[in-house]
Amino acid sequence: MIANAIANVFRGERARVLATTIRVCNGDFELAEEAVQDAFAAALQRWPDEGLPEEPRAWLVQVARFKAIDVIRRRIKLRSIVETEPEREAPEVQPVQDDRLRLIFTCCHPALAREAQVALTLRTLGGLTTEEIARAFLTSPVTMAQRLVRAKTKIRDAGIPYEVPEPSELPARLDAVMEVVYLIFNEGYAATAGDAWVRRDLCGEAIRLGRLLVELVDLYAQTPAPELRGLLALMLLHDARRDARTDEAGDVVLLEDQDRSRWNRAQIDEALALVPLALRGGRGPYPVEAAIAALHASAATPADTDWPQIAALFHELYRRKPTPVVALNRAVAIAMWQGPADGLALLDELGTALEHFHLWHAARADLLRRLGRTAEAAAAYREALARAGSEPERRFLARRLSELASGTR
Amino acid sequence: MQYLLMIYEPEKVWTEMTEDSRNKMFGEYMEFTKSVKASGHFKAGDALQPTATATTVRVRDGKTQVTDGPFAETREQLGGYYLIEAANLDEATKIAARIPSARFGSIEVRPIMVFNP
Amino acid sequence: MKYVLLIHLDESHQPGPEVMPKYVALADDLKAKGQWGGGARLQHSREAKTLRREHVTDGPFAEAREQLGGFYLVDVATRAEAEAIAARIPAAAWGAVEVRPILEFSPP
Repeated sequence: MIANAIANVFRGERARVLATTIRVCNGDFELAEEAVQDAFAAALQRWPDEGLPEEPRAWLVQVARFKAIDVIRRRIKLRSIVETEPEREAPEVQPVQDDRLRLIFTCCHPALAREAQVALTLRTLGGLTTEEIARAFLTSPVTMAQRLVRAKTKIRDAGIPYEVPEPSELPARLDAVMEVVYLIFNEGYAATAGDAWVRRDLCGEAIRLGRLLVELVDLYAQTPAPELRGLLALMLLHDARRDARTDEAGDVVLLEDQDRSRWNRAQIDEALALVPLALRGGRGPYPVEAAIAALHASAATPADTDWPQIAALFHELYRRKPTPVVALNRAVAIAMWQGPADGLALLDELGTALEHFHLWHAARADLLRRLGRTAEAAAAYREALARAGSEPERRFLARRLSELASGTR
Repeated sequence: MQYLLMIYEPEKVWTEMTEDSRNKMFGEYMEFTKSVKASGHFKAGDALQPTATATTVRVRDGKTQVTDGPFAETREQLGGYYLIEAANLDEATKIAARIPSARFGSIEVRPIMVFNP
Repeated sequence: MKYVLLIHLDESHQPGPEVMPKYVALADDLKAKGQWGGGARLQHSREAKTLRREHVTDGPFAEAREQLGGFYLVDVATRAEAEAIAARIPAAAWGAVEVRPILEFSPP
């Protein structure tokens, strides 16, 4: 019983205890990790006899702080013998905003390489072990451990501050944090390789980080963060469809063919409540992407999909994020709304930018098929097949091609 | 902490500039230098002559070899540096971003090694 | 004339303990002769970050096998003197030292 309770405390509070301890240690990640480990070890020894303290987190922070200060004192003493430097007091601990916010901004600092940002965020704020992160990103635990050490060394030696950025810099820095969170989510959601359960874990971690960020940034900025709500809603909506996205054989099931009763309703409802808040004042792409996903999630059947609104939202998304891929999606939405001929004309305009992209060929193939231009459709499917990356996608395209040949589609 | 801000830029930017823009850039550099001196961040700084004036020296087996030219031919060249004192990397980066050449070149920000005797 | 001596070296090379005193002796000698203008040893280039048109990226400016490891600023009468000092920098034995004159601004 008590073992379970202790395990829960460790899981639930590790990031927070670590975040505060790093601040106590003047931003020294290594020292803080050591101190937190010591504190957990002390808890494991004492709590079974003494029972859980009233505030386990405060207890752990306190013990970790003592362990860290011990080490700092020892270091200063050693140095002062050499330098006869006046002894510095261990840093005062004043109550400030949640330290996890400092932690995430430091982990996602632009001076760190993107892969280091991701690894460090998962290791310190997420509950993932180095082995789990390595497995999720298909590298060896040794490589991942080295990457983490290098990142921590850089934070220390390059003088990356353990601070929440000033309000004037917050939007830009928050963009970087959101990119990392979304990258973690996509790694779990869209990755074509790796352990299925580890990838599910990554999606869960990303959503958890999204929830945490909404809570912390609201508190820090004293105003609701619409952008973050957009990101969180987007992740919740995608994740809600996870089980329906593939069949038993692991093959891709298109949105229009998915069994909508298998979508996670509770998660969709949570996201739907967030979308209006996100659109109100959120200027980046996530709120709009979330709104599009929300419209899909709200349609009881594919025929009920509100294509005119989705097309309008893709217009808006293209304004915020003018990439060929967004233009491709917009063309598909217009095709669903106004007919395949209009969509095809738009797609053909994008040809020069997207020729190398298998989804462009796949979208063209689909519209040509709907227009009854079978031979051209088959040619386009073959083009798509020649460029597709993942095995399930290739199987899907091959299936479509053979259906076309036998006249079943 | 001390940081070295290294200014990399295509040298031809300076030679291809009109006299007027060059004077304007010099003026901006002087402004910048004055301001980092006033704020107490400045430790040292210099502009370098173009790489055409560079010589590279190596000592191998006790023998000195001198070759004409810079250490490496690159698209952008080291044109100057500032040595500054800053609280942390973010402060150093903000100062680096104010260097006039940051608008067309690149500034590498490197912490200086501190030796504990 | 002022010259900057740029020390390029392979960062994986770990010099032995005998090297440090040589650096100290060189600096002392330059100071005694009034040739010393300053100098610093840089941290490993992986601690660097580069601003490209106000966009911050991780890592040094150029990914090369040899990196800038430090520099000296010397004030000497001739280029030959600067080159002679460059040859006395310990890292010249395993890396390379680039000698570049400083741009002197004549007061307007």
